[in-house]
Amino acid sequence: MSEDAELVSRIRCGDLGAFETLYHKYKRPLYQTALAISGDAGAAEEILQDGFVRAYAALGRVDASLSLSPWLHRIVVNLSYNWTNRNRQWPVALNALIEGLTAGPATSPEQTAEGNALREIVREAVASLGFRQRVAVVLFYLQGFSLPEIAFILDCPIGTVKSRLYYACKALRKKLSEDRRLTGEVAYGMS
Amino acid sequence: MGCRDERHSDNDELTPNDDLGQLIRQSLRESVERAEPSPLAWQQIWSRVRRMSAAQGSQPRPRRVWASLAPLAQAVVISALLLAFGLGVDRNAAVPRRSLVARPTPTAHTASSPAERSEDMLRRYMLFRRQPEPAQHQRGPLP
Repeated sequence: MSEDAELVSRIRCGDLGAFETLYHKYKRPLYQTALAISGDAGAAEEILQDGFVRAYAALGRVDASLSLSPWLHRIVVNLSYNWTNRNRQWPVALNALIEGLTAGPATSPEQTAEGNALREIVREAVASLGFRQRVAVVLFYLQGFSLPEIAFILDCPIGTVKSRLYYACKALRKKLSEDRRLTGEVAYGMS
Repeated sequence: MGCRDERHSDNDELTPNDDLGQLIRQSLRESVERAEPSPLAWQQIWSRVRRMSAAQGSQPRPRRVWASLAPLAQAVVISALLLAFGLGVDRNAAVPRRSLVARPTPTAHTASSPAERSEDMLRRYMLFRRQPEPAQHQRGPLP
């Protein structure tokens, strides 16, 4: 019996301690997914809370023999979709968030500034994608889900996932190659 | 989640490990790698889940009883309606309309004995005698 299956079995018997273990196991990837999609830390936390409460209510129907990660991500993506529909100003919030988060290990001030600028441009480009393409990019590149897993999370065929990723990458490549802030060398590498 | 990087090699069409894929992955991960939910998040979830489990623990039985009785009640109501409808149709077909019912015309004849009939004749005669005689116009001079 897998760890998730054992946790689900204990939760179904009313063991709330097992639910806390499940929360601590998945809180970071789920929160980061919600944050990358919504671009708002407060919204990501709200989505995380709602997601775990929904998951608790629906744990009786889940197939415990499989990993819970895609199933939990499916809940979080659906809640993120609802939130995005209500709040369409998220790219601005994402930029503000990124400013606070991007302070990686510094080598030299010039390199740090250049790296931050490049990452910011990439994130802006990702943020400018439509919701479906953005979610596919986040699940594929940030969380490393496989295509069948993303198809399950998004409730669509695998071919649709491939198509969304293909057009997302095409749009990102175009945006990055046209961005004037990038140096000629980096821009050349993108095209 | 880092262990999933090997799976990307299976998705040849997407080439996630090219320059663009690496750049996207690195940028997204660096943007959220230190992001964590606050400790308050779990407290909120905990309190909501406790309330939910408490509500489920105190109220499930009445709900289940009503839920199990609902189909039975529906079946009873539907069968009663069908029965009433069926009886109504049968009665309408079996009972003739009021306009077609043959009923005898009521008459004033009543059965009576010969003694009663003679008394009745006597009563009529007495009644006839009591009535004043009509005035007769006499011709001639007044007395």
